[in-house]
Amino acid sequence: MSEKYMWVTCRTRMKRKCQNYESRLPDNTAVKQQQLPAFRLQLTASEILSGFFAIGLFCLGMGIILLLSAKSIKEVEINYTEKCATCAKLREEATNFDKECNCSISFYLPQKMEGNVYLYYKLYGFYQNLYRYILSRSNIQLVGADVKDVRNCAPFRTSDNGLPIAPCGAIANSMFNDTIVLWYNFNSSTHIRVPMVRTETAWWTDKYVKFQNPAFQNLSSAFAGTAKPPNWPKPVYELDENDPGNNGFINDDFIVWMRTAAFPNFKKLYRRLHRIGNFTEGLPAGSYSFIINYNFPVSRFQGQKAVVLSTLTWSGGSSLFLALTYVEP
Amino acid sequence: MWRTLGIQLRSSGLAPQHEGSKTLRSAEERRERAFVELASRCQAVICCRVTPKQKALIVALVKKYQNVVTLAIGDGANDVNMIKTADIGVGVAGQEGMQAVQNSDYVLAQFCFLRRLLLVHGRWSYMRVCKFLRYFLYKTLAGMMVQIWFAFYSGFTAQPLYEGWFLALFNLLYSTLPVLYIGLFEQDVSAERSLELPELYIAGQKEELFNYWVILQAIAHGTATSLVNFFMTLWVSQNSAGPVSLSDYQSFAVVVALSSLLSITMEVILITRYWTVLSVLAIFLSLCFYVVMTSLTQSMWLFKHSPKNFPFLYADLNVLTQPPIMLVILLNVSLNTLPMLAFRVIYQALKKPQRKEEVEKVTSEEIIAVESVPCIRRESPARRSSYAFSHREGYADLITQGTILRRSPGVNSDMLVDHTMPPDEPSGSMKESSWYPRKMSFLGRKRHSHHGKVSSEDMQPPSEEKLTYSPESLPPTEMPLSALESQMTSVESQTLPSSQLSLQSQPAYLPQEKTSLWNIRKLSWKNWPYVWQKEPEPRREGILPVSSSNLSAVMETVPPSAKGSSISEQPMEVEPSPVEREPSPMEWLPEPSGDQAAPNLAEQLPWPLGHQ
Repeated sequence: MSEKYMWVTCRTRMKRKCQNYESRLPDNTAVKQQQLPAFRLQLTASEILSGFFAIGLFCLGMGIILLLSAKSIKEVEINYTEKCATCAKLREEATNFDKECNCSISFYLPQKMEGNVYLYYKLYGFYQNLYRYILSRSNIQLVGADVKDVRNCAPFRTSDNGLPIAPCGAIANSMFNDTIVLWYNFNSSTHIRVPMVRTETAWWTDKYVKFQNPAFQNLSSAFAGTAKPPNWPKPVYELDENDPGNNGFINDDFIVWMRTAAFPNFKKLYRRLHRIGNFTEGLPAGSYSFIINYNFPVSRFQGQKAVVLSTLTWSGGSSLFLALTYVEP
Repeated sequence: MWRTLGIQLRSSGLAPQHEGSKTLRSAEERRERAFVELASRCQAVICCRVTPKQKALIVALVKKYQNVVTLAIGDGANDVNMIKTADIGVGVAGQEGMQAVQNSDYVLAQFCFLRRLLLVHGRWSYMRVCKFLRYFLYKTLAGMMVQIWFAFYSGFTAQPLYEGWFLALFNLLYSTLPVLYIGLFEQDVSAERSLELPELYIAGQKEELFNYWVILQAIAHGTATSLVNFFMTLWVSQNSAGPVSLSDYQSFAVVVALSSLLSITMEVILITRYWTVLSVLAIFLSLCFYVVMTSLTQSMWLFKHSPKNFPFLYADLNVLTQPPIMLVILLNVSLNTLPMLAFRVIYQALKKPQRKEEVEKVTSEEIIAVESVPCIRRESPARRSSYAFSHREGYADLITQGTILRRSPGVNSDMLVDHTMPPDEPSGSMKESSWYPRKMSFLGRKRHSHHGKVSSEDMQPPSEEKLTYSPESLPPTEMPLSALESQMTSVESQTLPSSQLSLQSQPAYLPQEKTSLWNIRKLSWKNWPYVWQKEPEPRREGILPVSSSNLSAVMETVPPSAKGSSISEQPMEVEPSPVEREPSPMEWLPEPSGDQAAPNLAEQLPWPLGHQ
């Protein structure tokens, strides 16, 4: 207290002395005198412990909920790289690109899969997160602003005859082009193709904002003066001629593929179950088979392919892990 | 001492003695080192009458031999050298001009402000800078180590995990404001407490708040946070796919970025102790910046403008509108925050009882240390004032002998000279030895006196014999006393009984006066307010009762002999020559007990009076 008094009297003394010229004392404001009204945070052990218990209870609750939901998720994964060995061998030679190869995989579903069933294709060892790979795309082209803008798409910018590639870039070039069809063996004689929809597999913003076809009357004329990517069998405007909403750049498979995965082992949504007819409540138990049009070669990079059937809950997949980590605190 | 030290060094081969100059240099260095060591053991060292260069040299010495940060404060132009030599120079703006002020790092208006400068502002600055650095290290690592972990999965192709704009703005807008607040405004204790507890300053001197260990802790914490953020999100994403998915690159990037940012913000919330409006504003603004800038860089408008530069179109929007992903973020943040909080609480709880013991031990140790440090052993706890006068032989011999001048109660004069004998000598020889150098110096001083009425040399030897006094020894001293008497000129001697001779011991160290000793003694007892006393020492217990008995015997005999006694001025002329004597404390006022001998005294004692 006396310190303050001394200081204050010193200040006033100084002020009186310094009336001839401007006083160089700092302003007597709260900020500059470091005397802002303050609250000193002193966390006591009791406060922290009670906080811990509250958070722990919350985590436990969440964890139990997640665990219960995760338990009900069913998933079937079938790795078909070796199973379709002949096709795989065929695809190892690039000259065999125009030869079709179909592969059939049968499996048995012991329990029915209730709710929405999602069909994924899964790739192992495909690094979609390489720096130059991610860089190799042209968003300007894909948004439809300029079809011929191929600036960043090295090494897939122009074709042999100098035409710009549409869509350019390594991502587009390496698009997954296996066709997967699920057949249900209703009984030994009848096979029902399981109805699948391909809509809403991509982000809404992707489908309607980020990817736009160039505006033209005719889609093929919109892409005039461009070439198809080297690895593609068909040009982009022939991806789905039946459905103009799925043709060109706004093809769902294309968009899903263009959304690069973060890790080398990833799965991408391919189709959703269309819940009609026999499949109103999901996939009934029974024997099924996949007919796969094997196009995508993976043996060159020691990769693997798999197909996944899975149900989803609100927590996004069989996140048993999430449930366990929530229970743990 | 120096020579022996040199011999030891030479014999141990440490000091190469090839050149004479080297010897000199090393000798000088030894002297410097000894001086600094000695000075460091004192609580305060006063160097007076030093030139500016010497002031700077002293500071340089301390800097050279003690690994400390030095601060010099001064107000005049003669302090400029010292201020510039020290690590921190503080100038006091005042009447001595502005030279010191212009050359210093800090300027104070008054000397008393130095306390606030050091204990409050200095300590706060240290704490703020340390906290700032530690947190900055942590936040950078926590935010950016994720890139390294991602590199393991991306084939080491330097693909950044975060959106480019997040990377650019992270250290610019999203996390700087709270850490700047810590560096500018944080206070761990209030200013008043800082002044009350100067011990808190020691933390800065010992580098407790930022050292290699602290850096390591910050690095470990940051790395752990980044690991949790990355791998938790990874393991969750591996099982998810589809519309509600984390498996694609942009969603993953956004989730990890957001968890990092929130973890860092939680950490700064826990670290900040001094919550003001500014701190709340800083944190709030940081998060607002994140929201605003992210929505801006991921907006349609900017994407249309330049799709190449803003590829993360609506990534955040997509991610954050899905509750499961919010759960993931929450998980990450809690995993980062809660264990650290628990660890800190437990550490604090465990540290407190130890710390209390430590503090007690430390303070008691310090107390003991303070008392045991001085090499000069003290037996008496009496106050001892020591002066070191550098230009003349002064009171040094007083100090070395430890003579005490203690005033009797009821007198206002404040002349105190310590009088402690070195304890390791037997009483008798102790007295003799102590008196011997006294005599020499006394002789030296006496050279100046023009009034050689009393030949001290003659007086002293017999008095020495008298030092070993006891009641039994009194009769033998009668003879020398008569010798004394005969030597006294114009002595109005009073034949005192032999018991009074016991007082010879007392006046033995009194300057020999013209009047008889015993008269002086007698009068001194009655008249003089100052008593020449020996400090009661345990070893000399035996002597005390003897002396007291002697004195009491004297007391009885004083009254009858007081009448005819000549009043002598000041038997306490132990002080140095009056030239040096400080006027006020050393002045012994004569009390006229009787005016019989006044005229005698007047002519007999011109010396002490005249020299006052």
